[in-house]
Amino acid sequence: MLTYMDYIQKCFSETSGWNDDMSYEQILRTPNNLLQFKIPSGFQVSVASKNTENSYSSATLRQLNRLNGSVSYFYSSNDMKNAYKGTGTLPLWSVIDDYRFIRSPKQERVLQRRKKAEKKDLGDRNPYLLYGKMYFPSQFLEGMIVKRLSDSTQMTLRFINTPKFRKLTKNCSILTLYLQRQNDHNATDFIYSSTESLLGLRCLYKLGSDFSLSSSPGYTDSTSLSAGFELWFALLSMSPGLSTAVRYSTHISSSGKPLTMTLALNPLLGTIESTYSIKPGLNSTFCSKYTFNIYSYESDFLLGFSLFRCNGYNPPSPQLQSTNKTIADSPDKVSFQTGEIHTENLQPNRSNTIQRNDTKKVGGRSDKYPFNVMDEDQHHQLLTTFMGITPGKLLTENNARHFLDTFNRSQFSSAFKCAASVARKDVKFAWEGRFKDLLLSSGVHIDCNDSIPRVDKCGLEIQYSS
Amino acid sequence: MSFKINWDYIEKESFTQYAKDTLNEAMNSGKRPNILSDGIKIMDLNFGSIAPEFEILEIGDLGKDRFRGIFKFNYSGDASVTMTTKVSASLLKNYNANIKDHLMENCEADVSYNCADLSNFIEPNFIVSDCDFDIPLYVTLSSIKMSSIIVVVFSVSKGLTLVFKNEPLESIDVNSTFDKIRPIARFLQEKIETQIGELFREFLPGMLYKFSLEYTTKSFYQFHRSLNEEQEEEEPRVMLKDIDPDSPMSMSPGSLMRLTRLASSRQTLSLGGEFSCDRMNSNLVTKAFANAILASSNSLAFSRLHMTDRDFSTGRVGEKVNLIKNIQARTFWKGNHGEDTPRRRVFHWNRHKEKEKVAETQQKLSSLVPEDAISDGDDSTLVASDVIENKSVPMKLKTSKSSPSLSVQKRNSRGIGGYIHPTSRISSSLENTGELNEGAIPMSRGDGSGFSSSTATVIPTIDFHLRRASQYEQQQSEKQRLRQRDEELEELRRFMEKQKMASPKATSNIQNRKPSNTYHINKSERMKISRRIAKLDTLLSKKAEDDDALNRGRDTKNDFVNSTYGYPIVSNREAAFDSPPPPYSYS
Repeated sequence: MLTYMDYIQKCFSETSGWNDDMSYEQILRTPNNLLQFKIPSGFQVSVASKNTENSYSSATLRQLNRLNGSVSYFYSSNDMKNAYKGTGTLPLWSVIDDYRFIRSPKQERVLQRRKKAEKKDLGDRNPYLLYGKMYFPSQFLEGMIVKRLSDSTQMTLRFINTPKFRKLTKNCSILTLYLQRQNDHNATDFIYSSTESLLGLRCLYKLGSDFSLSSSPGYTDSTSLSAGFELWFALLSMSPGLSTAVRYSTHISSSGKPLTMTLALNPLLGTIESTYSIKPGLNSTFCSKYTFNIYSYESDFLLGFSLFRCNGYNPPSPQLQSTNKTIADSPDKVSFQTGEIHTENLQPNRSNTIQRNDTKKVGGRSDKYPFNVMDEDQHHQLLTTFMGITPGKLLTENNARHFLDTFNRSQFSSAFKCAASVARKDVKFAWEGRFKDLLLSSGVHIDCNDSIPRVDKCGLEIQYSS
Repeated sequence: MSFKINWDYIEKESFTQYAKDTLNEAMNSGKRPNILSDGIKIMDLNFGSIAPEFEILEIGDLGKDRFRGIFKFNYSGDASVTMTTKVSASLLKNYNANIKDHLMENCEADVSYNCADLSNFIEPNFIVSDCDFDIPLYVTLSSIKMSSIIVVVFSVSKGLTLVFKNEPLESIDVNSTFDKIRPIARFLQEKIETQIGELFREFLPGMLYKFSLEYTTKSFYQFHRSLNEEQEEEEPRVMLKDIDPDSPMSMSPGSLMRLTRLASSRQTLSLGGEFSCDRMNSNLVTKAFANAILASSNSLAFSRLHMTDRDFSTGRVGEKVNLIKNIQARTFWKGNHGEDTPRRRVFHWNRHKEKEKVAETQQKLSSLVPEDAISDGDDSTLVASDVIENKSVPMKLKTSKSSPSLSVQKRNSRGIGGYIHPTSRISSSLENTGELNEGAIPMSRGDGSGFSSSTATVIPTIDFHLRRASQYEQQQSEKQRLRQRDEELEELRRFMEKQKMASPKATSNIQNRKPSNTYHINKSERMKISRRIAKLDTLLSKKAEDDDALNRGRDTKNDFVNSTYGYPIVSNREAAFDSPPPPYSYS
């Protein structure tokens, strides 16, 4: 489950129009979510609230060996009222790490355009987020500054500081700086960390099926192929690091169910990792991972799955229905709607509001002259799509759209996750769910290396925010 | 001077295994460095065939509990050790682990969980760059050459301090998996050399010091404990309370032994033990305490030389009887041939008390006994009155000088009275005997010698005595004819009852009627006392055995006397009174 800090950061990215997924750092996000999820340890309670429109605060109490806690504060320069929700109302899948739906570059472009239009209304072009946290009684300090430098660049600065405990120990300060640049097709990150002067470079390229605009089919298809690499070098310790990865994400044409495959390679150490993740139903995800080292022949096989409990479905909003009606006459609407839902799947309410805006703006007048209101690009898209439409493609799109539509309307109440490794001989279980207005997250990590399985880690975490 | 070390001894399989285990434990104790992804395991350990050379250069100080010396140490043998581990070659994985370690190092242990949070927050998120990559590593250390001067300082209180005067390691061969990769091989060689140097300089002396400290303190403690245990087992502590609480004034062998032990325990330097008032706090032993003991025991038992069932089963009856016989014979011998007669002793012991009692008795008896018989109040009065009382006894005792046989007779009768009293059948006879021998009561109490105690040990012979008693009855009935006055008899009986109350009877019914007093010794205490007494008695019998064995040589003369004079004489005179304890054949 996302921590409050992660959630705030996510909300910030959403409102500021920064794509979290568009980074090499997130290329293995789906398999990592399913196989390397975090297990809380000890007992932890955290209470958070939105103090003003821009500031948030959180307090955490943890019992592990001895009682400790932390207090954190956030300040965001833009208003996150559209994204931020308390634990009582937020959709559960927005805080549970699970399958990530990847947007294709074309969807990205459409989304960006809309974001831009939206941001004009908001006014703040370069928002920033400040975060500070103090641990008690250890008096550790951690802080973060996220600042949008321009439309396509963002700077993140993270730092920690520990006090001097004894005469012989030093106080420890580490600073890590991220400079990120992203656009529809690629993203580049520069990283500098003060420990051993580590320098890093990450690149990600998205190779969508819409590689050329002329190939009209696939506009609505979210299929995307991404490739990237990272380079690291620690100046002081002369330790290099290198890896490269490819990701393929699509929907199964017959059922519209999403699947993601990745292949990652570390040429320096000879490790190959391949993963396969699929969402066979609305309520389940399955993931497998195979790692192999070509030098040592060491291998590992990991399996993980997650199951969701669904309480019911939100009724489709009347606007959505009305737009769905228009789907019949306008294939553009179909594709547009699918794209919309697809890209905004993590925030259905928000996407609904956007849709509402759209229908107000576009659809409202579309009663008279729907086509005339569209801009040139939309004309072009509409025409190309209409020209290149094929029944098979339509079926796939419809399946995918249906799947996502149902997924977004689902009211999940809890999730159960399980992951196991063959070589390490360990099993992890986690249960995350909502009880009244509280978010509960519990888990256990069992180590089966010895003859008697041993509980390595277990815990319960309770979150409340308003 | 130099040592010759039996090097072949440590070549034994068990020792090698032990050394391996110890090394494994030592290597894997503490936190493993991040670069090692697996524990260190000793694969092979070989001590070689060449022994190291030790040479004493100087001994500065040599004492019972301290030692200081300078040694010369030389080794150029063929010992070798092979170990294996796994090295993590994933540098970025180590990078992240180092961040966490760095945080852990610089803070206290109890906030380590925050360190994990903090490091998660700050460390860059590597994708596959930090994957696991372990390289197995074999390291063989061989042809070790060492030479050093060692200073050893040892003292019991401060432990062992060992200092190497110079760098002990001269050279070492390091062979590893990375031999072909020159830089790594060189790095390993350097690293291991410095590490071994450190081992000898810091780790080894430190470990030896800790070990020695543990050993010395432990052994000291154990030494003391074993010392205390020994004391507890062999010499149970004796306290004043323990000295025959029922009859503190009687001189039984048991109480004599206890007194001796008490006296000797004051001379020992024994440590520990229970709190005892007589040693720890001398002013506790006051008159009040003594009085308390006296008051608590209103009956005076003759002896504690018990014969238990166990004795019969183990066949120690004969020994005890023998002991009694010896005592009796000695007393008899002394009475016959010695200068001091027991009679005299008896009178001297309790002169003042006797006088009072005698006076009392005389008052009481004045009506019973003809006035002329009680002529004077000197030392011989009692005996005289005895004689007067016994004058109707067929065996006439003319003078008090013939007291040995008289006393024997008296005591025998007393003993009978003491033991037979509970049976109602003989109570009448007791009254009679009491009437006859009442003068003997204070005497026997005052006497309290080993001889009187011997009568108490004759419990198994009770049948014998019953027979004797019946004889007595007949005799007494004769005497009864002399004074048939019932009122006097009644008066005498009442007096006897009183006497009995204060008389040293170990009978339980009398003990139960013990009046509560301020110095009452409670039940648990009594239990304790009785346990101690039982223990002491076993000791006593042991001691008596020893003494017996010791005296056997010395007492040949006595034995001779016994054989020549003792039994024949006794049997000639009065078999009924003076016969030795019947020969037992229980074993």
